[in-house]
Amino acid sequence: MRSRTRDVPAPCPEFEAAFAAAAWGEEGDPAWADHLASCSACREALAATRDLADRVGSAARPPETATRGLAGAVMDRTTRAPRGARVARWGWVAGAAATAGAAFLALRRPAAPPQPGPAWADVDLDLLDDLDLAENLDLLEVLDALERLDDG
Amino acid sequence: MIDDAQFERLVRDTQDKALRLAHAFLGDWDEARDAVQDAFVKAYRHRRAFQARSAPGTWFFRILSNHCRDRLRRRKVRAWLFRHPGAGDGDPGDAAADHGPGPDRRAADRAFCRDLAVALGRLPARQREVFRLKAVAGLTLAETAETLGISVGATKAHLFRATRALQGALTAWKDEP
Repeated sequence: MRSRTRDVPAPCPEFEAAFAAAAWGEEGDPAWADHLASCSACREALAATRDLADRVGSAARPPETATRGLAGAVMDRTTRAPRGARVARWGWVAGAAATAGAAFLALRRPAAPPQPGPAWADVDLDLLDDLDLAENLDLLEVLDALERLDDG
Repeated sequence: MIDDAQFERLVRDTQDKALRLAHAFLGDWDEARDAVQDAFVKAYRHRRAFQARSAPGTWFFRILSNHCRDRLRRRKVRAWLFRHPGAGDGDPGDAAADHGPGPDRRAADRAFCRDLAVALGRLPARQREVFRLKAVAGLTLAETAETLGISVGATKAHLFRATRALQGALTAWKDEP
């Protein structure tokens, strides 16, 4: 597609802006209207541009399949969307946000301070040797009591 | 802030232009319809953020334009990933797939859309944007200027240059029925 702008009739340079507006359907400049009445070059240029405008207008007209029910479909997704659905959607959003927030807080919470307790490294290992003795302390006390009776 | 009644009015008033605009980006009516729906839903979710510094229509067209650009970007990534030739270019092939006129006219419109998309792709970005909004989507000059954040005078200048360039690129269509 080779550009051949020079072959296309051109309007007078001082009326280019008014020409562009008129070519695409916006009249209203009285100076342009007066000029057009007396300038065959501008009339020819305008006629040539209106050919293009008509063709563009025809090709750009939406088919009925594109326009049919469009407004209704939009309303169904916006102003007529069931409130319950909107609430449910926002409920999901709120639930997800709450879960994410809770997870965030849990992960960011500082670790619990160490509870005081036995310092296991300091346990006296000798105690472990007497563990049998400690566990049978009741029995030993009974034996002691029997021996005292015998002595008595 | 836009209330529900204002939003419904916005949808009804702008849906036709919105479809044209989305189609000018995406080149496919089904995808344009999806994009328009998604953009309206996005606008509704952000309706509290709307401040009446601009008209609701231009606010929405900005959302829609950005949404279409996102879709094009995703399409290009998909095309790259799957090495599907042409998938990222925006195929306007079905532009007139369901128009009222007969099959010859539909085929001609389809071919014209293809050539127009190619020619638009060669324009500087600002000219392309202005042409899409004004000539294809049918916004007013004031709406186009406001959507793009430029003056009406600059809009006219870009529109003039785009029109001239496209006329030059599409001369083959001049005498077609």
